[in-house]
Amino acid sequence: MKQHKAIRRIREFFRHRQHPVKIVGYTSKTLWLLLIPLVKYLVALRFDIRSWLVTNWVDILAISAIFAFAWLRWVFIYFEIDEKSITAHSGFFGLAATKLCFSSVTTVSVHQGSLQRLFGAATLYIDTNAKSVSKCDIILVLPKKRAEHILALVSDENERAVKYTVESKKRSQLAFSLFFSSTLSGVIIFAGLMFEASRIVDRNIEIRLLNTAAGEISKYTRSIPYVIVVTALIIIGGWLLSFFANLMRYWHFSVTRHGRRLIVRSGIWTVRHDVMHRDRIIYYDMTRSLLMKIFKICTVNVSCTGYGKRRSEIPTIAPIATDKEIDKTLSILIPSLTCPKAMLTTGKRELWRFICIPVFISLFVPVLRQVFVFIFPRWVDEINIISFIASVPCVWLVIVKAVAAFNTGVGFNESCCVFDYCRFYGFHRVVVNREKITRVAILQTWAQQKAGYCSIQICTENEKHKKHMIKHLPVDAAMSILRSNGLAV
Amino acid sequence: MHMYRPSRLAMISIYLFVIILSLALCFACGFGAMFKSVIFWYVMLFIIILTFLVLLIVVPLFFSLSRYSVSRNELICNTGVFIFKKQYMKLSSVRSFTAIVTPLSRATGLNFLVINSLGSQMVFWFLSKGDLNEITSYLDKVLKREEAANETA
Repeated sequence: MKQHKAIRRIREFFRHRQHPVKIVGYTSKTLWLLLIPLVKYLVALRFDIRSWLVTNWVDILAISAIFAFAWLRWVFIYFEIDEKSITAHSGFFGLAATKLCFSSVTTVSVHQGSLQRLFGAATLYIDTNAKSVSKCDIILVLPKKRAEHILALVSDENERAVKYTVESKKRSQLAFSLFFSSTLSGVIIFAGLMFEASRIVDRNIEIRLLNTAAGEISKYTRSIPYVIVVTALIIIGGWLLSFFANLMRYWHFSVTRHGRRLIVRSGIWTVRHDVMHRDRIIYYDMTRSLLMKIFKICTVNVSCTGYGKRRSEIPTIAPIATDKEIDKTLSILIPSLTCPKAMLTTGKRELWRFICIPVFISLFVPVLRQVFVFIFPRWVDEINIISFIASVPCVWLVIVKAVAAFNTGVGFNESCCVFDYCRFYGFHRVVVNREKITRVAILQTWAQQKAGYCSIQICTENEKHKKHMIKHLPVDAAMSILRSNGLAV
Repeated sequence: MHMYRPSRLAMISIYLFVIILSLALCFACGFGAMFKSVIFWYVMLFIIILTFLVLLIVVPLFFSLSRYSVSRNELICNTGVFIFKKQYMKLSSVRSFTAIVTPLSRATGLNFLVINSLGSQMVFWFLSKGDLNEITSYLDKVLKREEAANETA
């Protein structure tokens, strides 16, 4: 009997704890403590065994301290669940307790990385609209089954309601990743990786790696300058990285509408399962580049507290689809956000206003080229190639802004409003619930004031301070529309 | 509707601060020019031009164009020097506010009010202490009224 009791207690203990793999996670933050014995070890490199032993006990003590600390944190972090709420005890010695009612949860997610899959663990994130915390309200690393069980409890998955599922086509996903992967985002990921690696190892290694790769390539392309080979390597590498990241993230992507919830599943490398409260979605944003606009395809992102807010995540509910498919998908998934017609738009008249700054920037490139040729006359070839490369995005920006002149506007209906605008190279169509707008600003430069134009800046309820800027609208018309909809005085 | 303007005391404080700062920088540049390099004369010239620009254009324009108004339903904030900005925020969307009161603010007028709503912020710059107290007490009342309304609902 006593044995049974002991086993039951042990089981009970584990039932309310995180997955033991979390102990390793807790060690990583304090691993820097290992530097202390390492420095001591370096001092003792005179091969004197006695002094080595004298120094070694510090190593053992430090490592034991790290694991003991991690184990203590693991023991003190636990959670309790009842029918309507979850309480997570966190912080040192479990002193901080966070209690969440299931009814107030906006997003609950279970993410399982490849390393976690080996141990059968998964990370559970629970978010609410309590705006005081920008981080997640509750984060727990749990055995996968338990995490899924809690997710089902919180999201009330047993609710009897019809399920509508939208799955993205794999061919179109492949095409999307192939044609629309951004080199810039790839380069950012690559730079992030390099930065993290240089923190652990040494900066010289990454420089050597890049130089070796560039050196190998320049053996076959001797006529091309070395700088250009390195640049091309970074661009192609960045693009490839972005391509694979996109593919890994959106493979097996599906969205299901189930009662008041939206259930999103995606990913190969990291398997993601997110459940959102539909009524708490603030807005959806149809995002596309110029190429995507030409091919009439787009991506739809949503703003909902907790969804897609972690690093390298995008809050998408439709990674890639044609405009027609997107309309159908949105009417199924978020019927409450209906897109109104644009009441105030820009056009031919505002064309110069949209393109004047990009035109000046692209004219600045040849001027800069001349200056550099004057200062560095030996580097003419390199400067020519770099100025050509630099002029391509500038000219592209002129084209994008010219198209933006015909795709900018604002519109309202009884419940929602729509903003069409272009930000850098991307086109956005944001449909938001009118009640979720928190601040409206009218911006005017001196030139705009003289000509009677303005830009409207709109902020909505959000976790972050995000602004939507609709540029170059006639000020009188804009003000009258805002006034008639109760957004300005 | 109550209208507020940035405090004149704050304008004088900024004038004093800019003049002292530019004098210190000019002195340092003069010292550098005499003993190190001639290039410091150019830096000094740049500092003088910048100081005059700030004192004669930026500060007076900012203080003459800035206006804040608080009414029953909304807050309006007009600011800007080169880009004029008129912001509207519904009182119902205000969630909290932060009053920043610097030491000797009665004499310097360096008081600020940051109004927080969900996903956005609005800042009332350089308010006099009296104005700041008036606005904060009003906002406090509004927030309490909303809380009471939420509780009864």
